[in-house]
Amino acid sequence: MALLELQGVTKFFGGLAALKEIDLKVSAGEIVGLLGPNGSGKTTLFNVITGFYPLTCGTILFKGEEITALKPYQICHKGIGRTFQITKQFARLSVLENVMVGTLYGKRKGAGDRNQVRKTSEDILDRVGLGLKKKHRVADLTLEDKKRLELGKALATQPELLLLDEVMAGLNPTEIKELLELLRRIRKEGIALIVVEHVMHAVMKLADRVCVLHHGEKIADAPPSEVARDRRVIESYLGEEFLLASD
Amino acid sequence: MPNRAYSRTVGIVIFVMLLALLPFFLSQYSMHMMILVLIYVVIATSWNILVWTHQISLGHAAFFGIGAYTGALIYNAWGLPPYFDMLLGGIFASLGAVIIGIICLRMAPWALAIATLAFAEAMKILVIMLPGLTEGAEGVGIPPLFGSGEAARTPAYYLILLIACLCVLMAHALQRSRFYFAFTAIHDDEEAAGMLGINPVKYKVLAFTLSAFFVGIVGSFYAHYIAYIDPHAAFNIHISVEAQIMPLIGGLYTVAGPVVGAFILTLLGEYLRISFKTGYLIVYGIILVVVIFYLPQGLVGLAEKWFKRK
Repeated sequence: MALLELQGVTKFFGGLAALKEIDLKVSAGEIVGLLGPNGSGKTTLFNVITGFYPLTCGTILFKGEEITALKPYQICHKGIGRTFQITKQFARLSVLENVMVGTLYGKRKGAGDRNQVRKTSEDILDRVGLGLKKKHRVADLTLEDKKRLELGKALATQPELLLLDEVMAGLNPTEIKELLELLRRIRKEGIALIVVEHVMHAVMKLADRVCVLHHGEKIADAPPSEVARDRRVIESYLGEEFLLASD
Repeated sequence: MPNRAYSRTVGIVIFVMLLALLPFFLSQYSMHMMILVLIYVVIATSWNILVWTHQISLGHAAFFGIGAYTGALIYNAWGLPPYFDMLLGGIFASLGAVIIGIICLRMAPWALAIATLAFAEAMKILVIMLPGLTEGAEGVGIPPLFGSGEAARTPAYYLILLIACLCVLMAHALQRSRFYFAFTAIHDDEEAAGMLGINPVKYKVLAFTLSAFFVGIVGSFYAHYIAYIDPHAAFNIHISVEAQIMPLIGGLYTVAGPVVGAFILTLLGEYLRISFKTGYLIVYGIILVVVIFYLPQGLVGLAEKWFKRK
């Protein structure tokens, strides 16, 4: 049984179809790259999976259970975590407290007393490499650290599936390398990932499977090497240069 | 060396003890002023809790009025013990808050502010339009809480001191609890809060309910203390305005801020009223503008900065 299964997921904004009949399966522990030009529906797909937008039609199953009409907080409790493209931090809380919110209200709600919650949250900060900055104000973090914190908050909710929306955008090559390492470690813990990303070489290295959206339609769903040679994908998104560069 | 939290606790205990000793020194007039100060401590503290969740109310007079009328009408009808109908005042105000909370939850803060303002006015008109139940614009008289005469003021003072202490303690406990994490997360980013498992609707209604509860209690207390209540006094927009200016001047988001704001603004307002017989509101207004302009963190923020520097 797939961990996440989308069946005919369709989303209209007025007369505009942002997503058309999307079918997608993600297995436990799998990394799926989600590609597509701007406006192709990647973030919209995240928004319908996590309950921010109601579906026009279609079904979303998580571990065989229908989650189509649930609210974001209920979806979080089921075990789906998410980061946002533009990082969303709680400015009046410290780095550690930001993560504590996820620990307190996530899947294992209020796991233990305050000391345990703090300890669990500190461990997560260590995992994402922010252990030394736990007392910092969020405003003082660099972009890379904000992205790490975004990951930490999502991890704190104890997800089995993480949706990552452009966590690598704006980072330099060294930072991307570090983050790739971190994502691989997260996968080793058994968490499945859906990764929206424009940093192509990163996705191609990381993903087990790549799914490409174009004008709200799925035009490819295959291992990275195959997708890189797919005619439709090259025409709509990658461009001829990519094919030449990867040869 | 005692740590900061310890010395702060000692300071607060001494402050409350000083307040408890005041009836032995103050005149009747000053006692009345202190009772008003403490009423506003409760109102401002309660209003501030709502702000923790990024909701703004311009209608806390509604909850005050609901409390006042609940207290007065129930006391006159059934003669229940006054403490009991103060509690009922709080409960009815909370019910009002739940209703308006659920209706207005998805509104932006400014829209909510307008909706609550309208709610308070609507409640006032409702009370005027239902003379059979509320005695309309004439108002309701009730026997004074602790009998008449000057001796009655001292027990009233201790009662409101107790209520104010409970209210501030509640705010303090709330700020140290897990609720504070949910409130702050909702305040800073509601979408992100939802994705971390927080149900924004639940916590916003909770904040609204808590915020209205103590205001309803002091509304009921006020009706018993003054022994007469009418729609214009009970649903006075002045209450709603003070409720937000006091935390603003004292320090938003803090527990001490509304308390400091209530003390300073109530006493300052009275002092100016006596000193500048005409146009005192202009002076009051100028002081407010200057403080808000130069102290965005409020007086508590200023004090914290000063202590850090030392």
